[in-house]
Amino acid sequence: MLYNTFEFGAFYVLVFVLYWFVCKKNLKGQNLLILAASYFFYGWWDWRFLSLVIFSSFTDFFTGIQIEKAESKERKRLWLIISLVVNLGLLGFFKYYGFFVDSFIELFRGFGYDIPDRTLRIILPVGISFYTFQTLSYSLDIFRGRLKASKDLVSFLAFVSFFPQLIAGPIERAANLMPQFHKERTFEVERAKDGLRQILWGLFKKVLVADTLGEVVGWIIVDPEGYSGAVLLMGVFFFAFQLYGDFSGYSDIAIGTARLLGFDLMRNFNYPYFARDIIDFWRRWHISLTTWFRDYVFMSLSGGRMITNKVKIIRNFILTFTISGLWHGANWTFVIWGFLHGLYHIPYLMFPKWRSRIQQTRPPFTFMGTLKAIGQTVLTWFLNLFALVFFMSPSVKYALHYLSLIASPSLFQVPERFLRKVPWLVAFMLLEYIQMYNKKKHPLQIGSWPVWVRWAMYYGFVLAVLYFNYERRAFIYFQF
Amino acid sequence: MKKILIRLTIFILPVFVLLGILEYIQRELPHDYKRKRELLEAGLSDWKTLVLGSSHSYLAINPAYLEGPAFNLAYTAQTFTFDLFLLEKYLDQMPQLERIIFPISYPSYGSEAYLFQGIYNKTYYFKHFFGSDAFTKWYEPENYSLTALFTVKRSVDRAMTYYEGKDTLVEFDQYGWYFWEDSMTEKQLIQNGAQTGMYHNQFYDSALYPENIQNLSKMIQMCQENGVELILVSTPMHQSYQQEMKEERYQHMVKTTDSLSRLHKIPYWNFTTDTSYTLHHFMDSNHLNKRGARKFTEELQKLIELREASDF
Repeated sequence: MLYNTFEFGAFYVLVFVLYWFVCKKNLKGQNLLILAASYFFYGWWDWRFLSLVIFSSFTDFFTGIQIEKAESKERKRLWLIISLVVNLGLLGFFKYYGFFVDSFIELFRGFGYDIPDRTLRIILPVGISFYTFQTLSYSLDIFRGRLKASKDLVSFLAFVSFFPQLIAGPIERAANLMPQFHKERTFEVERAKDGLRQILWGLFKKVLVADTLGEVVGWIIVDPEGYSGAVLLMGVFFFAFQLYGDFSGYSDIAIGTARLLGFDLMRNFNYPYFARDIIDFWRRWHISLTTWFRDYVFMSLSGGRMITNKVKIIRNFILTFTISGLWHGANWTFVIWGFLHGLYHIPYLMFPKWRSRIQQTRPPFTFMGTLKAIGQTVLTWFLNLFALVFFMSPSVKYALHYLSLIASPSLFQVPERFLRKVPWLVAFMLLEYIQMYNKKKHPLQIGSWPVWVRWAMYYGFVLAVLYFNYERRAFIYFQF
Repeated sequence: MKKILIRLTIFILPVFVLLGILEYIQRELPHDYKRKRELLEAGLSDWKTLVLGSSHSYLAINPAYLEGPAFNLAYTAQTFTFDLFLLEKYLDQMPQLERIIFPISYPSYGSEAYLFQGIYNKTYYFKHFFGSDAFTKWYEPENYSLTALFTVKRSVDRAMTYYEGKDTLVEFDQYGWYFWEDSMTEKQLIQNGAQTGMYHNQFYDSALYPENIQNLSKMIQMCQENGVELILVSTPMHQSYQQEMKEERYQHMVKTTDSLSRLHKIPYWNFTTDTSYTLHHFMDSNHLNKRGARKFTEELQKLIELREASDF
């Protein structure tokens, strides 16, 4: 059930009506409805894997209580390990089994030992990386004493499976989302309006930016030899927008649909393509995952305290980003992508003053300031694009081949195709820039604009989404 | 909440009106299946010969060269499942029907019932234009709306194309036959053969043999019960396509069809490897063009006449 389908529209309207009209002022009823709707939503994808969500939820509900109840540190740790083993075990089996076995076979073949191909092919349950991370954070927070274990089973199950963000995040923290299941929710008109606008903006990004560019990127990826270096470079550029439109579009729809039900999910994107250095980029891109890795991986590697040893900091950064790359997919391309982003951090970690000077130049009102800001943004884009070649490639070999094709004399010629997409992307970025400058959380926060402009924009966006919604591609992050 | 819901309704109403208008236009516009049904039903009491099957017979058999009123009801990616449905629906309504020409191609027995579902949406077309409930799920919006089926963009494009006079939206002639004038160059044919052969091999699944053979047997039985002769034919394939065919699968097709033919005493004429069909007879590696269709249909007619003569 994709967000941009009639099925989801009908499902959501039904849930909305039952939620606000039938279960009104009945918190338990509302939570139960969310739980039932979420299981139905997930079961629509593949009912067989619903048991995994339920199993993971029950494990953490139970271990959470045990961690809290345990009197000794050792006992708490034991229950935490049980939670980690179950969750990471499920993730490891379903997501990484094939990757590790294949890599193992390749390694041995490299040494001349022929090992037969594996015969067990495992289907990846949709959303597994997201909900296991969400439940893991719950157990870890209880272990660290930051959170009380939930005694309300329905609320907890609803928290894990909350359908707006179940499949691809934002990866919510229990500390933020769980309390919202325990307090009465009221319908607020302004919040609902903003939610609707955010849904519309998300659909726009998904359908018009991601899906239309996805078509072009697909053609380029299938036949890279058929294009000049300039078009291939543009292909990576388009992929960057496709990925952004797709994933941030999903996040916007998730946040908007949750908001209409009275929930506030965390912000997942903050105009990332205007970042002026790579640290800034990661504060704006997939924020829920970045902060998750910061709190639970980076901090664990640092022993739970601030460290000053630069070598250790750099090592931890590289490790964290590499693991984050692996989280995205069971392929060496993602590992390299993550590793590269880890490497990109080194100059800023080595010379922190350099970075603080970058921060001071905002906002770029002066000519030189503007020029400098543009230069920094372009450099960040360049680094990002280079790493994205690996992210978009099916294999490392393909990525290297693609890079070699870009680095040809034809890189400097005018792209022979797809140039007509560029002005639209410029207009898209301009709207994003204006609204970022106005400190809006998403570009359709236009409540203060004249009513006729707003309605004209809404109609324009709605009709454009309806018209261009013909590809109906699955969200890219569903595969992670 | 009431206020925002009212506003939302007012906002969304014109959008639904536009979609309603678009839906109405789609229902008025011609469509291949709609036209096939109209033409077929207009001549139900006259048809002596009916052609069923996939694109291979859709392009290869021109009813104009068959003796007596004949209609080509074949269509792209029309698998045995859909042929069986059509037969069940119309066989009793054609009192003059003497024979059905039914193609068996290299991928036929290994094809899924809903082949190319994503591309051709056949199940929904059958729901809309032949009134079949057999292949779709009730909750799918494509069951109820052509705009949902085609998507808004394609619906608008279809309407624009038709009203601007750029296309009739119907690709076949009054006998249901789709023809193609041109042929490919040798190089293009070789390329096409490799691609199509690979494609057909990719979706081929021998686990589907029992289901497809059962459907074909059922059709043969229905025809025999109604006194209609079923003629099995394999249309010519260009050498570039033949090279891609896996011997084992091809032999399975030939042997299975031969044994069905012997068992039910019906003819099976296999033209797959007929070398008299050259580059100029093909639209691509596995479909005949207009010239090839004429040659093939005339040969079929001769064989039918010979068979009738020998019967007497």
